Amino acid sequence: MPETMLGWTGLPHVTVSVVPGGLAPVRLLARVTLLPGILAGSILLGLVYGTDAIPLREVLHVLFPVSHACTARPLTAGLPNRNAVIICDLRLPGVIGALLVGAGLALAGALFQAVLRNPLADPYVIGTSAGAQLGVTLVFILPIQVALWGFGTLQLAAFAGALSTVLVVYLLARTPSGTPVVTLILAGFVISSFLISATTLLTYVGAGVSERLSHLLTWTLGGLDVQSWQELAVSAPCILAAGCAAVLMAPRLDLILLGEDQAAHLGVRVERLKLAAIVLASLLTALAVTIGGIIPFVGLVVPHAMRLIYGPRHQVLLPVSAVAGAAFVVLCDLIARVAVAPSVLPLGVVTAVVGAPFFLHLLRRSRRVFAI
Amino acid sequence: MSSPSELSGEGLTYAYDVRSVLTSADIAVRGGEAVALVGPNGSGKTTALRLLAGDLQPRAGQVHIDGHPLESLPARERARRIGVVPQTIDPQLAFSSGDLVAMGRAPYVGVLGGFSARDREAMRAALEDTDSTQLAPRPFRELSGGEQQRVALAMVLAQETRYLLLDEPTTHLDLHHQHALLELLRRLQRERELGLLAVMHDLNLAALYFDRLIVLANGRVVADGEPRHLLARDDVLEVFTAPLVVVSHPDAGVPQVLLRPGPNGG
Repeated sequence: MPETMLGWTGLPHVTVSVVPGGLAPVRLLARVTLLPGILAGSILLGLVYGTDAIPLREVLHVLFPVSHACTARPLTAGLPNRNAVIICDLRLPGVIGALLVGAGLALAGALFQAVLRNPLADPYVIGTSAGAQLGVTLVFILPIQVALWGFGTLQLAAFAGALSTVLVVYLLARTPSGTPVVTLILAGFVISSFLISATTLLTYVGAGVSERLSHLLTWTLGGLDVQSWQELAVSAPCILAAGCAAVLMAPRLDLILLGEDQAAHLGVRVERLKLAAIVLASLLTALAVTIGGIIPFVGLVVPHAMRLIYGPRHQVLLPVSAVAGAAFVVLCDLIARVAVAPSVLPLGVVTAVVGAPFFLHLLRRSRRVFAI
Repeated sequence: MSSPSELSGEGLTYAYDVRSVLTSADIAVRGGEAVALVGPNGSGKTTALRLLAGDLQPRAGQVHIDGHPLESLPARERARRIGVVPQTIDPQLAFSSGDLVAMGRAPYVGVLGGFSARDREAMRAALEDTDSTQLAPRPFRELSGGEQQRVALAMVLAQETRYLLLDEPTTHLDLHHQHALLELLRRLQRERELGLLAVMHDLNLAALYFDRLIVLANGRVVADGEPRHLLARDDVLEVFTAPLVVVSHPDAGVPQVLLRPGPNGG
């Protein structure tokens, strides 16, 4: 039996969750610290394990150089240098990249699911990721360089690709009562397949042109291949800002789940909100794709799991999805790096193995719920 | 002419593609008055309601609310004056019923969604008036159809609008629920002095529970007045194109319309 408490509305409220939202401060603390704790743990694991394991205290020593007290004894001067380089220049950018990809894709998924009122909307499923990828591939092949508001060419191209793809898919699939589950998937599948073929074609054609092709190939397979802190310097603040903007939309995203007409009756300017959410979700997808290529199903698995635990309110759902998405991709990236060490699996392979069964489960369920 | 305290549409005209569904219809409801839109299927009742709710833009004519042209009001301001009771809410929503009622305060709360004492009072009163206080903690999807309808009504009452629009609220309800809902609506309408405008399929319920009927046929308003006057007129009954007999309700004294059976019935 769920516990009754005074909820956020001030009305008696039962939390529909498996993490009991009782009044006990211990439980409240557990509820608030659980996800950040998991994320911190994932980050440490991601730094410790790789081709070689680096002892945790060395990792902590590199991360927190002032906290010598935390490590049992002072480290000898010569030994950790190599490990420090591995941590700072290889693993840490990779882990931060994974974290940003996860947060971005999970937020994008939650946004798409709300505005399209479709439980299966995910940046990968509806083709947004493929659009972003095509945009990036074009930049690799064509000699164009633009910069705008600190954005690089890559990010701009990915954003243009993602946004135009989602608009095309949406216009193909929309009906007055939302986007039917299966129509959206079909439209997304067709557009996505087309864009991926176009990307492959460009990659072949461009083989002679671009010396950056090997990087492109790794990236195309959904490999996290962060080569410099500089790549992250653009994406990280943008993802953070887009996340904050999404949270500001949260109450209106709740209302849109009542249906577009009813949301309008409650004072929401529906078309404006939908456009804003789609632009934001496309931006998040584009930023994630420029870091890690196409990573399937993160935007699907994470928000759904979080809905089960924390309920449907977007003011809670969006932040917890971002944190959980970050932890999920950091862990998937770790699996990708250690599963067949010293080789590295493409990250997208790992998330697909987890995400595909989950997608099928949701599809079966939504056939019952949203009768077609 | 629009007065400062009414929701009115003057000369409303609307067409889906080329098919005209509403032609220069004048429809008005004042605060404190219960009006039913009646008429045969396809007469334009629902279209008229959607025009007044602002869901559709009229091809010609103008909707006024309290003297302001509807489209001149910002969306939130409009939502503080007109509430629309949803015909259906996705019955699978995982929100608690209290969450849904809280959504009724959306036209009043800021971007970050903090509630004032006044917001909480409106929510409490809405739950109490619809007899759903004890439903607030429960997930919406676990409620029965009748309970979901009460919660939906509470959400719109929390909006504290002067006008309340409903589209066929009693369709698909059994006699018990028809009676409960209409009694509740009528009581709320009187207590809160609401202007109630409902599309009603059932002429007899409309005559029992509403002050005034607006009869639509083929997209035109053919009559507008008190039930006891309208249902005595042959030209009004003719629009329903069925053999009818009118009797007086033994308790309420209002006219009730019965079908006259053919040779195979009765």
